[in-house]
Amino acid sequence: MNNNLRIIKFIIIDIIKNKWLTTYTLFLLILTSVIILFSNDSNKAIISLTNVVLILIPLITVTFTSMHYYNSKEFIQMLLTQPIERKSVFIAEFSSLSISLTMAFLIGVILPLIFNGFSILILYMIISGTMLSLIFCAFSILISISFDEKIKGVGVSIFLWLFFSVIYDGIVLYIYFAFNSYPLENIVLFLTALNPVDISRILILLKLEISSLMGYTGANLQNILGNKTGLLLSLSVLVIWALTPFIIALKKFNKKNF
Amino acid sequence: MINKSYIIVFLLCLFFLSCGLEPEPIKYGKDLCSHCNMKIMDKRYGAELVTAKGKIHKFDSPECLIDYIHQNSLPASDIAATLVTGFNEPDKLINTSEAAFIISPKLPSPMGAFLTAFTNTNEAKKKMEEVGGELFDWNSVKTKIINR
Amino acid sequence: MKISRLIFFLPIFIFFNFSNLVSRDILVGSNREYKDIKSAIENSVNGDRIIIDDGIYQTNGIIIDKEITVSGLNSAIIDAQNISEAITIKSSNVTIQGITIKNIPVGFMKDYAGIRIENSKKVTIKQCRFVNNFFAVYLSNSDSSNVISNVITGNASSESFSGNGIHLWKCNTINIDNNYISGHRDGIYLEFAINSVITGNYSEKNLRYGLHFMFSEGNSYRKNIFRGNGAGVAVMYTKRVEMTENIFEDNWGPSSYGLLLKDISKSRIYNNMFRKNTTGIYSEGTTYTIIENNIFSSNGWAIKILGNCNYDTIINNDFLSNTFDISTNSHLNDNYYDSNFWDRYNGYDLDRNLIGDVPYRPTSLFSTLVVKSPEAILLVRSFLVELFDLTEKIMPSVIPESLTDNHPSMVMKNKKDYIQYD
Repeated sequence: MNNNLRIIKFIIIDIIKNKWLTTYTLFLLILTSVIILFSNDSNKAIISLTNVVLILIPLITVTFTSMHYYNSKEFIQMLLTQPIERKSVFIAEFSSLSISLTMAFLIGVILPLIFNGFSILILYMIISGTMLSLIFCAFSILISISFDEKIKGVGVSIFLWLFFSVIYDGIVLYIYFAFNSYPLENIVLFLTALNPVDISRILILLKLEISSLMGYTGANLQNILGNKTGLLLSLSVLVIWALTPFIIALKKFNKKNF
Repeated sequence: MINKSYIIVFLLCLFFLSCGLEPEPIKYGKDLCSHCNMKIMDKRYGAELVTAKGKIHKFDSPECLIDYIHQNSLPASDIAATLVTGFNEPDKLINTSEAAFIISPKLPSPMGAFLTAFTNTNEAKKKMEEVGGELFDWNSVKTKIINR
Repeated sequence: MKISRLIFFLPIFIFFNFSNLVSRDILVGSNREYKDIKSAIENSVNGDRIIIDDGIYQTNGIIIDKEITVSGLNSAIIDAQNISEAITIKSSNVTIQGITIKNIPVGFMKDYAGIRIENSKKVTIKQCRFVNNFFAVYLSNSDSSNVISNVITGNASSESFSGNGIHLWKCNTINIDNNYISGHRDGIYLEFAINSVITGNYSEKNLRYGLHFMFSEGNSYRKNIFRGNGAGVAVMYTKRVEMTENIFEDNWGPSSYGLLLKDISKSRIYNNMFRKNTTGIYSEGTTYTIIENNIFSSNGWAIKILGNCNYDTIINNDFLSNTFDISTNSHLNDNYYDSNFWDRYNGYDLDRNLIGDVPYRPTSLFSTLVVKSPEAILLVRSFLVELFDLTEKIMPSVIPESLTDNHPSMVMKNKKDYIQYD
């Protein structure tokens, strides 16, 4: 355990020294502050920030994670020659990456928000942002372990991001319009809730006034997701999305022939 | 390959799960009429259409149901069921083929057709003693309303 | 000077008043000639005035078939105890003033009303209170009547069966002025009513609509406030309705509108304020209608205008902070948009004539999709949708090409202040 912590500490220091993370944090910080300062409507600010959390954070998470993994591959191989369990090395790599990415998100987005005094929404922002960071970090590590070539790994990671944030919605929309004459409401709702990006978006939107724009569907959603059970439900969807790639990646890492 | 077939089975399951042809109770004061877009308020005049594909449309009056079918030129093969509530028994949806209808100028209906449904001919006749008007069954009332 | 002159004329005035009108005052009260209202009416003749003392009168089924005035002093209350209707007016030239009517029962087979006016002319209901009634004022087959300055409160809930505040059925030339109506199904309801004027009413928290027209031609409503109703106003199957200087506000909820237009034509919507409605105007089958000089502010959808609306004119309006400005379900457009102020417009005005130099397209692809299939709203604010809207803005293909404001204003067209009611 002690060993674990020491490795985590080491990798985190390494990540912090890496100017990318600092740039990322500063970028988020400036972006959030600008959005808050320049929109006179706090609702609109939140909506713009939602896009930052849902789109930008996963994108940067996947790129950063896979880049870091490939760049520190030699270091990982070196660690593996030491008398340390493979599991610990993996957990160390994952947790230090996710901790630093989450910290960057918290400092970059949440801190300026809290200074501005926004309410319960912040909680939802924290949940979605953190969970999305974890999910995409885990996926990205899984992909990086699966592909030895850096270009391929980074490419597939970015495709994954593209899939969850654009292609998936496109498919849902297509299904919906192709089978419009069938009662698909609940299926579409269900499919949407399966995508971690979508469920985070809906979770935040339901807390905004815009939710009644969502008409009947919105009212349905509000009934299902708008309360504590709903929050727990969506949280568990998110946790499953983070755990699954994490466990698969761990197994792969244990078996992998470096 | 295995993954793909899993996904297909999964989607098919979902599909069949959602494809009941059962009518759904109308939520008065909440549901909107599919034809005239008004909130459905009056229990005595509720109406519902279940399509062959299982989609449910609710209406605030039998005349809206008839107009909707007519204006969207729905063929009979697309219609699984048409239902109305009876003026004398407003809490239950019954099949339109079982219902009796009267058109009477003394009994206004929500959308101005003076059309009211009853659960059976006897109930309709009972009301007609009071308000007069003409007695119809579902098929004849459809033609009457379309040509109004 | 003025006061002394008034005192001088006063006796003469009173004298003339009494000698010219042969009317008697009939007093009703616990220590008056008549103890109950019915017997007072029975013993009255045309032109009499029945004055009711303060107190609660537990009665129902009062029928007025003479040309009389019934008025209450301060708080004369008729309690129908949920048994039947309170007053039915079957005569012309009747005035009812200053009484309170409460507890009219809900009926599935009969529309029980606080005051029912049947086949009459020149009836006036003013300064009355209606509390907890099924229908409050019900006019059928009547004309040239007034419903003025009444306070009407029901306690309808969506679970229970409910009636309308002021209900007009086959009426002509009715004035509905300055009433407060809440807690009914529709605040004011007109079916087959013509030439009526509805002014200065405040209709709020009604289950369905603040004001509802069905098959009612040639009416106008102005300076009313519709707030927090299931939907503000519905104008359906009607021609020639004037809608001016009204406020449609806080009609907010999954299926709410400020103004619902369905199959109407040749109407004018002028100088109104639409604020914080889920949908400002929902328009279906509307033709030859002019929407001008209105303000649409902070609505979800400012205007939803379906493909079957033709020859409508939308000019000189202000669109401020709406989530969607114009939405339609069609790729064709037969309506004319011009000279509106759009807060989203980011064109330029090089010649400084306060008209934007590039045309503005007030609709987006996504809003069109949603009007077609409401469930697509699940994808609101998603990245995909933002991409869609961006591409559509650069090269429109799905949204109607002619849905364009060619002279978008650079400045607001109307004053933003409007009357504040509390």
